[in-house]
Amino acid sequence: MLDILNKICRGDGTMEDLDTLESLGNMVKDTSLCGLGQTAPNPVLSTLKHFREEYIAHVVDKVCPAGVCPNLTNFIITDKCIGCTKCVKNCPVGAITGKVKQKHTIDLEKCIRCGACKKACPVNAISSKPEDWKAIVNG
Amino acid sequence: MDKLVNVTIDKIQIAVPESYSVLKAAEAAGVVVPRLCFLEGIHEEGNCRVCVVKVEGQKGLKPACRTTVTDGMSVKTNTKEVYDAVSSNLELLAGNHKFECWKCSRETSCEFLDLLRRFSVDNYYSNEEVFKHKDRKLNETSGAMVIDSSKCVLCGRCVSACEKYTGLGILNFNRRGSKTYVGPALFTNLEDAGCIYCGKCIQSCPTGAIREKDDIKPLERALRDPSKTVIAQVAPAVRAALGEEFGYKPGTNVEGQLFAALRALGIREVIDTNFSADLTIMEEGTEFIHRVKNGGVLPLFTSCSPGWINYLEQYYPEYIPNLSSCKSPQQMAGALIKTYYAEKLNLDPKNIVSVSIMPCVAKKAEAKRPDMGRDGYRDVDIVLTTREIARLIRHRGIKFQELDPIKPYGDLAKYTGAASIFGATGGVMEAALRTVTEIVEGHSTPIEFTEVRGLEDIKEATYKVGGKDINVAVVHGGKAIGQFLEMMKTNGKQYHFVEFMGCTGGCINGGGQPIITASNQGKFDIRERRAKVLYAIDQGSTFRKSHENEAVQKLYAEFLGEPNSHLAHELLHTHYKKRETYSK
Repeated sequence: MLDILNKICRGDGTMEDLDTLESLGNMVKDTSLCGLGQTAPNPVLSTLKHFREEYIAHVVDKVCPAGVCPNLTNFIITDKCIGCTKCVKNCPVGAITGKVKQKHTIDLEKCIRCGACKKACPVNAISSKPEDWKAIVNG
Repeated sequence: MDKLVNVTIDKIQIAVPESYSVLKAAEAAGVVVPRLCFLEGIHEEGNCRVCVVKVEGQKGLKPACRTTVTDGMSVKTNTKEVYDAVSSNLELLAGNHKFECWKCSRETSCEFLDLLRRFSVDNYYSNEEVFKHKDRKLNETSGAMVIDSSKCVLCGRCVSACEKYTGLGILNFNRRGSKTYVGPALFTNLEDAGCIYCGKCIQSCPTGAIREKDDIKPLERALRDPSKTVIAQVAPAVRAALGEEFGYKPGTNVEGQLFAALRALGIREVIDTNFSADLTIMEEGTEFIHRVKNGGVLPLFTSCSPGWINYLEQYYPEYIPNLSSCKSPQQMAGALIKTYYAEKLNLDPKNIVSVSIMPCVAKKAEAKRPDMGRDGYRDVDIVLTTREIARLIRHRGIKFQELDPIKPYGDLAKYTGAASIFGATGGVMEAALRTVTEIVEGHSTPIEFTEVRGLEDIKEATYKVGGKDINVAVVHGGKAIGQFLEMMKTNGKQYHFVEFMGCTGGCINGGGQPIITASNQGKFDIRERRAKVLYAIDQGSTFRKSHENEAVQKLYAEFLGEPNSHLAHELLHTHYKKRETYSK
């Protein structure tokens, strides 16, 4: 099950994978002897039930709405940026460029999606929300 | 008798004792419940979840092997829910199994493959790009047995079998969770792990994860080498079991077909290990008489079973002086093939490939012992188990059932009834008693010593020989050996002669014998059926005492001189020594 989840998080998931996950989870639940086994698949089963659209976003749109899966997330600097350069200093791969007191930009080719810049930003100007970066990428 | 309770299994009503599991009740009702890890009396832990059934009124699915029946219980074994659960369970197991069926030792007896076929399992999880696969752990340096984690389904049968049959617990689970694999602690090489190679784990494995080291290829190459002459020997217990591989009922004697098959394979000479079993009795019997007369170390322990030798050398080295110095019949025959027989056939021993067909895995390791050969060649070059010879016969397309039985076509093939019972527990003892009593008393003595027969773990008897009480005991199976030796230390009884066998039941139930599936193991005792064959051969023999064997008499007259002579010692005897476990 972990391997399938990882596959979905990598962006290689298919809709069949969701069904497989669900049937596997139910099988484990049904055939397990102890309470641990009977409840182990519950997190996956209940997220599949209540947050299925997030799974589908991963599989169909290839985006991670929560901004957690590195392969399916892009970090974007919004207009809130005050040009403090904290993010530049914290970026481990030097993917952020920009002049002091001006809006910075992230080179998505270099970015490794570690999220260090987002943590460092004092004004919450760095967004991983799909709608933000989609708007910017699309124009 | 237990109270009977009424249960309904797939609409069949049946009354069974209340101690029954659902699985047993289903079998009684004629309903087949698939099973993988369950091995009656040995492994009943319910960890494979292949036997799950729906018990009405209960949540989830229940393992049939671990659920006991209750009155009025209604069980469904064949609902869609059960079918889906079992097939996805098997699918997961298949995802971690390396399918190399064409070269697998279990090509016709794989319980796992049977289940996969039965549930039309898709092989979804074997896609290595998506699913992480476990590293393959291979333990194959011992030259006798191979443990291959890539075929293991972690049913745990071998772990339980090792503990329950040998009492040694060599095999166990290493690591945890998805990284689990079976093997000796820290996956130490088997030869250092204290294993006695009894092969009970092989016989309980549902796949080919634990198997004998495959020696078919070296034999095939030797048979095609024009400069080599292949001479084979066949152990007594092989003929009692080989038929099972070719569709005969357990307990059929296929001696004649076996020899015909060996001829068809292109083996030039076949001798019978039964012959050297007679020889062993002459040597061991003489040694025993000598020890009793001259106050040597008593009790004398037999040395025919290499599993037992492994046990003694590693766990009770203080008893090595008690051990008979005789080689096992296999090694005696091997030594004679390369000396006496080579001379007769006018062959250079270096060009002889000596092959033995044995019911035993430990024999493979025995043939590789450093002191088993001379002048740079080995007594026995290749050891094949009963299963391997069956596979070879099948691979060559020989129709075993249609072969006309023949007699062995070599000189060293005459044997007496005493030799044929070597393969069953108590047989060596009985054969030795027949000869020893007659030599000591100087007149004809009874043939049958029924007290030493049977399947009890430890058998004891007392016989009057030459006016003296001789206490004998027969012990078989690793666990019983340990119990007996501990008992002997404390109870103070003076035994004179003790027969030990590494496998329960003796060679007929050896680690190299055809596999009996788990469901059949619960139905009948294979040891009994195979032993019957050997005792029937004994009954039907004209000569039933080893010293009456004309070929043995001729061998002594022409070559060896007399039992325990200098030449006999050189060829037929060896030294046993203490071995450390986990020393490296």
